[in-house]
Amino acid sequence: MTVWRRARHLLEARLAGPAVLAVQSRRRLAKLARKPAAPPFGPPLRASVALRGLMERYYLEGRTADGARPVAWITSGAPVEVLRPLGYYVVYPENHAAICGARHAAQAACEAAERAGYSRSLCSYARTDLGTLFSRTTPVGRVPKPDLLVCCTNICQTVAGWYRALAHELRVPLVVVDTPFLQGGERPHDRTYVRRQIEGLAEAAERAARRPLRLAALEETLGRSQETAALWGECLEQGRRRPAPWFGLESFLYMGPMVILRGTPEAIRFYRALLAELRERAERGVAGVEGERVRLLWDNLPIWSELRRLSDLLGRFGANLVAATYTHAWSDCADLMQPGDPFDALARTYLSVLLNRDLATRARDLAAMARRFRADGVLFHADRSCKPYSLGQHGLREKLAREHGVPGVVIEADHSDPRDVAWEATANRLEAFLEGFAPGSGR
Amino acid sequence: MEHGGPSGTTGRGSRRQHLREQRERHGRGAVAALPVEHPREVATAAGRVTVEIWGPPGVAPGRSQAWLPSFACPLARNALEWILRGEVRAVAELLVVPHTCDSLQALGSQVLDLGAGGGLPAVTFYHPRTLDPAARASFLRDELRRYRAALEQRLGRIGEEALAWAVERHREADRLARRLLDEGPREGLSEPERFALLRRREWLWVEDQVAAFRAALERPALPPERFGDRVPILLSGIVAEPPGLLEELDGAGLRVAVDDTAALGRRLPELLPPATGEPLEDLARRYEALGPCSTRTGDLDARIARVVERARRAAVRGALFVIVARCEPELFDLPALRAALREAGVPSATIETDLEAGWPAAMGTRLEAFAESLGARGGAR
Ligand code: SF4
Ligand code: SF4
Repeated sequence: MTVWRRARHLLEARLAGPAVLAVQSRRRLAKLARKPAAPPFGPPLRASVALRGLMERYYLEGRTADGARPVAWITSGAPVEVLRPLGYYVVYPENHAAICGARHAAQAACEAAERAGYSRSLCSYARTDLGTLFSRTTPVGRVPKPDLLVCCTNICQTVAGWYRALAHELRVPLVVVDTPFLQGGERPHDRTYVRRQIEGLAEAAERAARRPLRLAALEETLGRSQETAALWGECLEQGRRRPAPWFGLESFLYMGPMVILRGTPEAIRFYRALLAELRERAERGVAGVEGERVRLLWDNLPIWSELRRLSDLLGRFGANLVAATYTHAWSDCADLMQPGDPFDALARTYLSVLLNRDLATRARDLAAMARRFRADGVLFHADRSCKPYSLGQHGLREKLAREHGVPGVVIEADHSDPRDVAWEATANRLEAFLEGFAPGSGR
Repeated sequence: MEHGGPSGTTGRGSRRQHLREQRERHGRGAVAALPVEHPREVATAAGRVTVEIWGPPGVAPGRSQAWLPSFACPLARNALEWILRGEVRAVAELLVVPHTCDSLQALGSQVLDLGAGGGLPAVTFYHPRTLDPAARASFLRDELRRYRAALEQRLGRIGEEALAWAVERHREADRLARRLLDEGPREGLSEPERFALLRRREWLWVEDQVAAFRAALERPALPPERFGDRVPILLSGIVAEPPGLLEELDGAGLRVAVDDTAALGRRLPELLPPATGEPLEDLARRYEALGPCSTRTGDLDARIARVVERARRAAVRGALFVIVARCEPELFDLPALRAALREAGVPSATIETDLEAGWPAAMGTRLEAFAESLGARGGAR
C-alpha cells in the first residue's frame, strides 16, 4: 500500500468527494421539496436523497481503495463484521450487479461473461459480475481489485461456483464460509463448523490486512449490525399500517445500506432517519399508494430492470407490496446478533438466514407474514437465476392458498437479465391476478 | 453374522428385476438415493440395496410441472417426476438426498416439507464445502455419525460389525471398479458394455458388484494395438447420458480413456487410504481421498490440475463435456477447465443434454464434428 495511494484515497474518498456529494444532496433535497407527487404514489421520501448520497459515497470510496487499504469482495450474507474492524473496504458483487440491473447495464455485462464461456443458464448476478470484470465496464466508475474473496454459502451454492471462478481469474485467496442447509433445523455440529470457519476467516483477514483483529472492535461492529438490522426491521414494520406509508417496491432499494454498510455508523444514521420519516408519514396518513385497495407480499428478488413498469402496473390496481420475504430476510437476524460471544453470535446469525432454511420454515414465515401484514395475496417471482429461492415456490403457493386462504401467483422472470423477462406475458398474468381483487370479483 | 454373498445376478439383468430378486429371495429392501455422492455403505449395513436416481432420462414432464418452474435442471425435474409418480415409493422405503446443489436441496425440501414424496421418508446428507481442512474433517465425521443415526431411526439398528463388513465390501468394489475403469478395454467386452457395467454400481447389491467387476477383470486387458484406431478422449460432465451416448462415441471412433464424470470417475478414489478398523473413520477417509468435484466444491485449481494431469497421463487427444442443461455446478467450472485443457494442447467440445429419451440428432451432429476435428474415423464398430 503506497503512501501516494493512501493520500489520494483520503483526499478523494474522505474529503473532496464527500464535500461535493454533500452539496449535491442539499440541491437534491431542495429539488425534491418542489417535486409534486406522482399519483397514485405518495410523495417521494426525503430519505431517497440520503440513500443516493450514501450509495454514491460508498462506490466513490471504492474507486481508489485498492492499494490504499485492504479490499475484500464478499457475498451479501457473509459475516462482514469480521472485516470492518480491520479497515477493509468491502465490495458486494451482488449489490454491484443489482445496480447494473437497475441501470440497464446488466445485459451487456452478461454477454461479456457469456463470450468468455460462462453459460447463460448461470445466475445473472454472477454473469454480470464476471462480465464487468472482463469488460472493465461498470456504471459505478470503477470497482477496486480484491486482496481477499469471502464467500458464504448460506444464500446458495451458486456463490461457491462463482467465487471459485473469481479466485481462479483474479488469483486471490478465497475463504469459503460453508453453512450447512438447515433442513429440519440446526444440529449442534452445524454451529461448531460455522464458528470454526468464521474464526478461520478472521485469521485470513488479519493476514491479508497485516493487522490483528481486536475482539472489542468486533463486538462493537456486531452491536452496530444488530442495531442496523433492528432499525431496518422497524422500517419494514411500518408496512403493517393501513395504508402502508411507503411503496413496497422502494424497500428493495432502501435495503442497500443494510447489505453493504451493516456494522457501520452511517447505516445506523440512515435507518434512524428513514424510520422517523416513515413514522411521521404514517401518523399523517400518507399512503405509499393512494387509495390502497390490495395489499400484497413479494417472494424472491425483485425484477431490477422492470421496477418502473411493475410500479405502474401495481399502481393502476391500487396495489401495494406491503412486505417482501427478501427485504425482511435482512431484519430477521437482529435477535441473533447477541453480544457476549461474537463468534457464536455470528455463526448463529449467518446459519439462519432465509435461504438457508427449509421450505417448512419458509411456509410458516410466509403465512405469519401474510397474517401480520394483512396481505390479500402473494406475488411469487420465479427467478430464473435463483434456484434456491425459486424451486419450491409452486408448493409454497399451493400450501398458502390451501391452508391459509391466501392466493398467490407465480411469474417467471429474472432479477437482472432483461432477455429473460417477457414483460408482456408477466404483465398479463399479474393483471389477471389483480383483476381478481376488483370489487365484486369474489376475492 | 450372515450378510449374504452374491445374489447370483451377474449385473446383466435389469434394475427392476434385480430389486425384485433382492426383495423376494433375500428379503432386502431398497433405499433410493439422489445424485451424486452419498455414504451408501451405511444403507448396505442396514441390509438395504441402494438404487440411485439419475434422472431417469426420458421421463416426460407431467406432475412435476405443477411443482417446478420451467428452468429447473432436467435431472431434478425428472427425479421429481419419478417421485411424484410413485415410482420411487414402489421400490424404496427411504429417499437419501445428498446436498449436491441448490436444485437437489430444494427437491429434498419439497419432499420432506411440502409432501412431494407422498409420504416417502427422506434423509439428507450434507457435503462440507469449506476450504479449511480441519473444519471440513471434523464436520464430515459428525455428519457421518448423524447420517448413521438418521438411517437407524428409519431402518433399524445398524451394528458395528455390519457396518465394518459393508465398508470393507464397498472398499473392495471401489478397488475393482477403479481398476476396471483405469485399465481400459477388455477382451470380449465392448466399451459401452464396460461403462454400463461400471454404472451398475448405482443399483447392484454390493456383493454382486464385486462379483461382476471380478468377472470382468478376469477377461484379459486388450493390448493397445487392439484398441483399433479409436481416438482417446477425456469425458467429463455430471453423467454420461442420454442413453446411447457411449455407443455413439464408439461409433464416432472415440474411446473414453479418462472418465471425469461426477457419476463415475470423480467418485472412485484413485488410492484408498489404509483401513483403520473404525468403519466410520474409513468412510471419512475414503471421502477425503475422492478427487475434487463441482458438486462437492473444493478448490477449482485443484480440480483443473487433476483433470489436466489425467488427460496428459492418458495422452488424450480431446475432451468432451456432456452438460446436463442448466447445471450450475458444472457450468461454473467449465470455462476455466476448457482453457486449461486448451493450454495443455487438448481441444474440447461440449454437448448439452436435456436428459431426453433417445439420442437427439443435433447432438449427433456436434459429436461427429468433434470426432472429425480430432481425426477420428467413425463407423469403426
Ligand atoms: S440471486 Fe440467488 S443464485 Fe444468485 S447469488 Fe443471489 S442467492 Fe445466489
Ligand atoms: S445436473 Fe447439476 S443442477 Fe441438476 S441436480 Fe445434478 S448437479 Fe444439480
